[in-house]
Amino acid sequence: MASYRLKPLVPGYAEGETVKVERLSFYGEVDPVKGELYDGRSIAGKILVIGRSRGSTVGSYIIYGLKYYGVEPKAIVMVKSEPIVVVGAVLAGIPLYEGLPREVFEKIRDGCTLRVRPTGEMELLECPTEG
Amino acid sequence: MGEAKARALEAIVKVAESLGAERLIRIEHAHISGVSYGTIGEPGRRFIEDLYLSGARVSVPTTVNPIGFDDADPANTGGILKVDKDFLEGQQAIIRALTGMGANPVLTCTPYKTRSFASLNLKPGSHVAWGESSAVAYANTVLGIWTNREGGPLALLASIAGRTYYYGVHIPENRIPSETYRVEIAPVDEVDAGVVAEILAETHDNDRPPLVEMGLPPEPYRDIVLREFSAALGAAGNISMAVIPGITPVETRGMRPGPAIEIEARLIISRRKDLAPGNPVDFIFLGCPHLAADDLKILDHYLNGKARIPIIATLSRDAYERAGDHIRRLQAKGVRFIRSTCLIVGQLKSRDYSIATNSYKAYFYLRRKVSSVGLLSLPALARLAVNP
Repeated sequence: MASYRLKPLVPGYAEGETVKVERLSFYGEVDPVKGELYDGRSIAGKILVIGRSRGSTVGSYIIYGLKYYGVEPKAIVMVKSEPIVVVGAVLAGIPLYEGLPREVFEKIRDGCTLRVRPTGEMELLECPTEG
Repeated sequence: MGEAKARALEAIVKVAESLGAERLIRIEHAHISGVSYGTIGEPGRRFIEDLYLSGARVSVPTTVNPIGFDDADPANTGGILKVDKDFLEGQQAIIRALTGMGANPVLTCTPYKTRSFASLNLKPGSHVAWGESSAVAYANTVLGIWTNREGGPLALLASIAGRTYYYGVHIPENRIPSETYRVEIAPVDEVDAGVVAEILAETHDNDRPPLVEMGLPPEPYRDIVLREFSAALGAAGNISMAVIPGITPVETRGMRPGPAIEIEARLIISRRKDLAPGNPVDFIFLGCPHLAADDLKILDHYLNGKARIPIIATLSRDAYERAGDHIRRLQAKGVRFIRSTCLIVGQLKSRDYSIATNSYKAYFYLRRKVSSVGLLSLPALARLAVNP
């Protein structure tokens, strides 16, 4: 088990399974009613791990919408965040962390178990073996 | 201070604290994105209506982004948008709430091209809070008006509070470029500029702006290129500002970070080839960001004949009213104008369309919604329309 220190932007405890995406525009690439990414993967009840965000300023409303429809991720963990995502997470009350080291991001795959604490402590509990 | 304004301030302070911003600053203008019922749906509608019903009112001049249909004539869909009863009702509720709060429903993603904005006479260096990523990049890069990429709800809260958080490009040091990029193609057209923005979105990983040495065509075409470049920056990535020597109103002498990173011609040309239309085109889309009154002159100039492929053109009511003669001539040539909306925030009738456009941003958002989107410059689109 490896432990890391992240920056809590919206602090909150969460533990769950990861879904990872390199770059994401919440508007246009996330369906707020179904809680799914553009490629069909579900983010509802998952820990959404993002490299960097991009795209529309409507993204904040999409994050808010995920909560409204009850399909929000348990937490969002990013290498680097930005105000559009922060605003959505604040309004929706979804824990948001940034400062995930790039090399840890590269290691994480879909289906890893990850835990974040309000202090910013993140533990990567386990990852499915490759193949 | 009213209770609603206090609550808006409280929300902004919460965001400021999350970001580590030390204080708030006063703003002179706000532009609200996230107002189409098609993009924000019921949750967004409730958020905006709740603010209105709680007594919130804007406290600075405030403009509003495009909605989901032509507000002057909802039945004018260009044959490609759909507007059902629920959509109409939801959208009208959003507009009622926003205008009730005192926002000016210019309903365009290019508020800076409207007469009402010009009358504010904002000077370079003015602090504003804008949603709409294309307008943000244009404001910082071309107008010298300072704004972060504000999330839609934050722009609305900022207009009520008259303030936003002091962060990002509101801080002068953060407007100093960190890297120089040199574009090997000159002059670039708007498709080249979109590809350059896509490359910057991938390559430029710094909170400070890139300095982009890019040869531009003369006016009036230059402004089309700058708008498409700004829109592509905001879609493909999260860059809120570029510094373009000779364009961006800052003193760039002596702050050119070197050595320059080359954006090679062969890279741009090969990406352009990938993005060109591969299929027969159902219709041509112009107006992402919205066409300005001057663009209609240019389109009128290039379109020398009747369009055999329909051209859908989206623009503000303001531009439509100002370009009357060109509008009528272009309509006679087969151009279908739709006001106050666009294909990104409106609802398309079909997923099977094959579309050609000059907008990288339109490509970015439509590629997952329709069967194909190809990119060509405005003159090439005009030729394609007349001689498919």
